[in-house]
Amino acid sequence: TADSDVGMTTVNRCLDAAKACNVDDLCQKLRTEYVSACIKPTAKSGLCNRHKCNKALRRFFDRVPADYTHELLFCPCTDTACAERRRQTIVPGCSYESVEKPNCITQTRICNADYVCRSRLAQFQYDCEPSKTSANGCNQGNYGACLLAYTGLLGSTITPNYVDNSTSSVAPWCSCSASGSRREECDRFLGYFNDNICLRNALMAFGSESDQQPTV
Amino acid sequence: KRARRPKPCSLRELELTVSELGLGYESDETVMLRYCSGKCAAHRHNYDITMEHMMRIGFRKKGRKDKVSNKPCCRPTAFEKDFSFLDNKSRYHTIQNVSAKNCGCA
Repeated sequence: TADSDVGMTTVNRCLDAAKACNVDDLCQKLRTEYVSACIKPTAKSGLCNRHKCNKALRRFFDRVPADYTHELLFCPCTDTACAERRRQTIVPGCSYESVEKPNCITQTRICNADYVCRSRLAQFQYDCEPSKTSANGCNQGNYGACLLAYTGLLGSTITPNYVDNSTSSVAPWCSCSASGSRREECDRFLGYFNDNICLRNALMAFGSESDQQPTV
Repeated sequence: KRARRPKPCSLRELELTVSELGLGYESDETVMLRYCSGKCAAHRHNYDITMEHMMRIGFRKKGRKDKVSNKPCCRPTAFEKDFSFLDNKSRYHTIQNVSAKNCGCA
């Protein structure tokens, strides 16, 4: 490749994160469990079983230490190979995307009907609350808590993910078109993901803070 | 110079990329390959002694040309469960029985 020609190795933090997970027994086991669950087609429809996939995802993010999960999910990237790997972390083909984009308000209603999802969403909105007056953009002032609350949503009705392989913009799979009178409320909800200074700073800080970490 | 004592059959570890496993998958993801290596001298049975003899002269005398292994062999007695990875084309795969979990002389 071009990189080896000039005697350089491409730094791909997301690949390093995968390695760190693979050589750890618990991380490797639970990652394999969710990947297997998320890529397995069901006999009936040939599609994946989203319910099982989500359940395995929640198990992974609940039980594996954040040292591993956050590296996999928030690894900083400078090229698309890295960013695509990062986007693929949650197996979005099964856990995230669907044929149509439902309305975000509808999704919130489904989430609020579920005890775990409701509390996770509330936690996210609390820990990632943006602030114009706070120095770091977060009302609670804690990046780690915001990222943890973000991962708490993975595998729920409002699973967020990177929207493409070139930016670090995140959003749940829903839209605010056709929101009628609730357009403003909907935009505010979606803005919590794709236009949130606290979350954006937390994601960016994650990359630079752990720059000095030794790579295995 | 001290004679090197042969290591007994045991589980060893090596970090490799998935591509290096030789299974036809292209992925730069690193995995821990666990494999079995070492001597099984202590596990020689009468069977092995007899087979050694049979290979040398026993079979020929009886008009046979059979080949048999005449020493116990260090092999996995159990494999690690499934292992998943993302390949270089952004597709996930799950593969089985790649790494040894336990080793034994058989």
